[in-house]
Amino acid sequence: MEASITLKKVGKLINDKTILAGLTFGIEKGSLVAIIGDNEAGKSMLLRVISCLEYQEYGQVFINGLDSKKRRIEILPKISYVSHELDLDPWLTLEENIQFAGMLYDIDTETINTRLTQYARELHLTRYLKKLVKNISPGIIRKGIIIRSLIHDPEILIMDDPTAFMDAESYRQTWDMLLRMKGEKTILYVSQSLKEVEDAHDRILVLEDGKISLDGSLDKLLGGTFEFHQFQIEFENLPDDLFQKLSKLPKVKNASKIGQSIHFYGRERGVFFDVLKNAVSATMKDISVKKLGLQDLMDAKYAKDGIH
Amino acid sequence: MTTLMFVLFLPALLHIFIVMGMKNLVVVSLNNVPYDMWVFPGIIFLFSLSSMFTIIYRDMFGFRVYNQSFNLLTLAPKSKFHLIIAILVSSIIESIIYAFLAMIVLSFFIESPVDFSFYFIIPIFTTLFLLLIGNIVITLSILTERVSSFIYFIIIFFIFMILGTGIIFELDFFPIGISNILKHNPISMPLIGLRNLLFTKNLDLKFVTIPLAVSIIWIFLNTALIKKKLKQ
Repeated sequence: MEASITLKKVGKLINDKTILAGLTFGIEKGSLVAIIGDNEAGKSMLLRVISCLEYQEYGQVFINGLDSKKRRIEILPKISYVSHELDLDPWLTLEENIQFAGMLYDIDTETINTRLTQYARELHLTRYLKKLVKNISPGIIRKGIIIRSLIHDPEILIMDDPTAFMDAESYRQTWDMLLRMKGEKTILYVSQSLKEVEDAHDRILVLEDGKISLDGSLDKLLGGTFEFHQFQIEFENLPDDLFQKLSKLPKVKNASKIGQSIHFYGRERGVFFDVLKNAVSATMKDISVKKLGLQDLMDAKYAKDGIH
Repeated sequence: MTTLMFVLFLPALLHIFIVMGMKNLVVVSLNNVPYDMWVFPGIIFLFSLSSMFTIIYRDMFGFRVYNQSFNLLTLAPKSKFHLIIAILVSSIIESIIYAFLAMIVLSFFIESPVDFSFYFIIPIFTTLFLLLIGNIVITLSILTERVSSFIYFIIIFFIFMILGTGIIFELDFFPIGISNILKHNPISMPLIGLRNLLFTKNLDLKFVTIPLAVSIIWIFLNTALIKKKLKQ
């Protein structure tokens, strides 16, 4: 597939501190890509660089094959950036803010109003359009910012925490709309909510200290990193010798005792039956099996050290 | 409502506290023009200066320091030169409208009849003056990060404008060396040129061309400054 965004050895320094370190990757047209990582990992800076809000110190960013430094003015109408901040003018109405953005891109008033009406209906925002932004709640403003970013019909949407401040209903409406656009528009977003990323992605980039530490779909990341299940068995009484015996079973990984429960990891569900067979003499109260998710992947211990 | 108060009451206040007091001290100018008539263009400049500060604070400094819409402006497919020009032009148009209304309000206060030509000539020179002032305030908006610093510089600049540019008394009152320096300051030139034209019917082009040239150069300087500041 055709690349929408391409980065070649992109680096960004701030006061001699490396924020982005030689990033090289491409994003396919029409794909939905999520970026996750710890605080200070460089996620927001990466979005700012791709959206031409800041230039990289070295390397190149290409948007639809155009160099972002050399052909910025040509690129800008194709992209749209949603900042983490609520950056609307509080002294204008929501509608005026969006119309102003459209005018900056030389979109005619009729087109602006048609798009505004359509998106406002989709995000259930119509009744807030005539209100001053200073009198609207942050979650609603956030939806307004997303409409503002779509008003010039960009090909690439770059969003820093798009659903921040939103309630469950707004979150669902926003993602319904964004997922409908997937395929037509390339969507690149940063989120602190791993649940959100698990639900909405074609590909996940895990950023760590300005570098990409993991790249792929959730299944690929989990499969490639550790295809483990997490097990927990709660006993009425778990003596130390039983715990030692179970933890030494060949396929049991990283066993730990918490109260009267044993927690362990195993590559296959079959491990669980081995443990049950060996623990049949003790009375069990509860059992649980969980396939590892993004949260487990991001957990520092397992992401950095793996399961031994 | 605030704008209406600003347009109606500020000219009245300036008239009461500047003209009514000073005209007992300076009855006529050195060219024998009644003081209230002589100071009239200066009051308009002072008024437009205060509106220009407010507008650029609102549309640029405020946007930048409070993260309001400034990213949007810098990400629009327009050059930084266009951005500076757009901010300057929109703020000058707004200020000139206020200044025009202020002229009408002020004309009711002064005793000497205001010539009809004043209503055409003063806005033209005010535009030239505001082009310079706008550039100064834009530079300040780019370079300062904190509201307190911005206000501090504005206060210093305001004091200089009131006392050092011939707005309320003639620069010839200063010792000759200082007077010469102040008269050749591009910020003072539009007002000197305007008064020459209004009261002696003499148009000296240097009072127009020098401020205009400085303004144009300053626009390019501001363009470079904003590019550097935004790292774009």
